[in-house]
Order: sequence, then C-alpha cells, then structure tokens
Amino acid sequence: MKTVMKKKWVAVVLAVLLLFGIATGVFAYGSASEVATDVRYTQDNVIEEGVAKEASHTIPFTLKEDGTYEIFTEWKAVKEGVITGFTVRNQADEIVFCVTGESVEAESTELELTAGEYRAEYQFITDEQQFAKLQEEANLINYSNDSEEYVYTTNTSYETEYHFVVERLHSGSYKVGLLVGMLVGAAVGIILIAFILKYVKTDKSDEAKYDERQLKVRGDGFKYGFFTGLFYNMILCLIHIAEIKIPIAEEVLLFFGIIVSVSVYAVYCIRKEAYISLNESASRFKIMFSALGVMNIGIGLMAYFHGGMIVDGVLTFRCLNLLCGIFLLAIAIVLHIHMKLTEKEEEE
Amino acid sequence: MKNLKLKAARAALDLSQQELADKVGVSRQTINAIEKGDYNPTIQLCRSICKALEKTLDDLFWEE
Repeated sequence: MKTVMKKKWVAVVLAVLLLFGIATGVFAYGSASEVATDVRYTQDNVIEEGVAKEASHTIPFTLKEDGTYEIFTEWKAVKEGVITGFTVRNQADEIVFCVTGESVEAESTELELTAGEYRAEYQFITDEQQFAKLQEEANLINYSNDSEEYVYTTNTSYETEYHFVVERLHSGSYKVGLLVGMLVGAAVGIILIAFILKYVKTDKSDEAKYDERQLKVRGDGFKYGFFTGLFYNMILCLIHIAEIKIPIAEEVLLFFGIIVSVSVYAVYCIRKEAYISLNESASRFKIMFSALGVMNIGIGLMAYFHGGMIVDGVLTFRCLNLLCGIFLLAIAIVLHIHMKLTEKEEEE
Repeated sequence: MKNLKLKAARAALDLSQQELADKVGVSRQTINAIEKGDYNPTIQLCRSICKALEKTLDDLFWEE
C-alpha cells in the first residue's frame, strides 16, 4: 500500500514538473532572440600622407526589440601604426560603444539598448588630434593611455577583415525555461527508458541477463566506444587549438561525440549479438528504436521549420533531436539487418 | 580451431544451436562461436554444455 502511494506522489510531482517545464519553456521560447546582427567583411585601406583614402565605413543595423545586448568586434593588425576606431551610434548620434586599436578583440559590457536604427562605424585615425576627438566624444577611459604609445603611419596600404556581432542576451526567464525544459526532457527520457526496458523484456525480471560471451563482448564494446570518444575529443581539441572554424555549435559537436561513441558500442555489440540480453526481445527493441527515432526526427523537423536550427550558417543545439532521431533509426536499421543475417545463418 | 566434437554431439541429440543454447542458458551466437572456435568458454559453461549433451569434458573439449 505504501509503495503504491509513493508511486502516485512521484507521478504527481513528475506531472507538475512536466507542465511547469512546458509552460516556462514555451514562454521562454516565445521571448527568445539571439544574434541581432553579425557582419564580417574585408576592406582595402590606403593611407597617403597621413590621410585615409576612405576615412571611414559605416554599417547600419536595426534592433527590433528593447533589451540587454552585447557588442563584440575584432580586427587584426596588418600594418603597425594603423589605428582604427570602432563606434556604434544610436539614432540620436550618441556613441553607445567605442573601441580603438591596431588590432582588437573586444566585447562591450551589457548594454541596455532600445529598439531602433543604429550604425557601426570603422574610422581610421591617422593622427593624435583625431584620436583625441574620438576620445572626448566617446569618453574612452580604458584606452586613453594607449594613445601615447600609438605611432601613426603616414603612408601605407593594406587589407584586413572586420567582424562585429550584436547579440541580445537571454532573459533570466529564458535561462530558467531552458534549464527546466532540459530537466523535464531528461525526466521524460528516464521514464521512457524505464518503460522501454520493461517493454523489451521477455520475462518478468527487472535485470537484463547476459551470458559470459556477451559480457566479454560488451566489455570490448565499451572499450572501443571509450577510445572512439577519446579520439574524437582529441580531434575536437586540435581543431579548437588550430582555431579552425566549423559552422557547428560547440554543444552540438560535444553531443555528436557522445552519439559517435555510443554508436560504435551499439553497432559492435549488435554485430556480436551481445546488445540484446537473453531475456529481451530484439523485435521489440527494433520497434522501440524506430518509434523513438521517428518521434525525434519529427521534433527535429518541427524545430527546423520553426527556425533557429541554423543561425548565421551555424548549426545550433536545436538540431539535437534530429541527430538523436537519425542515430536511433540507424541503430534500428543495423538491428534489422543483423536479425535478417542471423535468420539466414540459422536456416543454413 | 573449430570444435567439431561439440557440433557432432549436438547433432547426435538432434538439437539445434538455439535449443542447446536455451538448455545451458546462453545465446545461440555463443554456442555458434564455441563451435566455430571463435570463443573459449569458461569451465563453468563447458560443464553446463557437457551436462546438456550428456558428455564428459574430455569428450567435448579435450584436444588429442
């Protein structure tokens, strides 16, 4: 009787958690916004007798919503003594963010910006007067001492790449929603796994029973999966060190590593007939994997059509369901092929 | 090395690999792997197989 009561309470708590998660998640999803603008371009610059041929270049952009933003900019120094000032001005022509330097990789503090038109401007500073003017206008406290070290080049030409991003920071409710959503997702996942483990059993036992060969094979499978994960992470590390840009979000790359490792383990065990225990049904496993695969692909496709899966050419975490779905379907297909091959073997 | 003695003993009792596997509580693939020489069973499993096929360890697993 006590156990029944306990189970009921657990179910109620999980249901409340689920509803809360969905409600918060939906609210957060609705109010979410990420990169507001992301500009990358290359410019030829010529400075003759202390005068920049093109004194500045301006990129207008629009913020659709009021909110907290961060501005990030970077450019590399190609020639020493070429100083660039980067400013972001609002509609009233006030500077909301400014940075100067030969090469820069800077991020603003959190800025409360209102919706409206803005313009980002790269200005070439060719003498101390220009620098002082900008310093005065933008109140360049952080960079005021740098001006004394600058040596201004009078004649040069060079080409460099400029990059700036304006990103809206997520609200607290969005972060809470995301966290709760993930927790609920994990809870639902655990419940599903518990259900699957019960469903695939051919007897009433709670434990999966493996024979000695299967246990050995599973051990080998874990080993191969582990080394695959290790190798994958090493490659990821090298890519990171070499600063090779991959248009895939880091969390997706990390999750993909898990999928690759688990795939190696699962396929190895399936091929050696050690994935399904003695008291589990391979057909039921196949049905469950297929159903979960299709469900995840469905959710993934919904996310794709809703938008946000690819942002500025970068694959975001919203593709994880799609990845999971493809993985589960692939496992179901491997299982199916293996069952067909085994049937043939048995007939022979 | 293939274990033909085991295969012969199983065939003599008209048992399929699956039936023998069910009797000793292992998977069919395990029996198949032992017969093909791909897997060396523990002494415990050898004893179970011998009991199921009514043979001795020498009959099935001793190499001459």
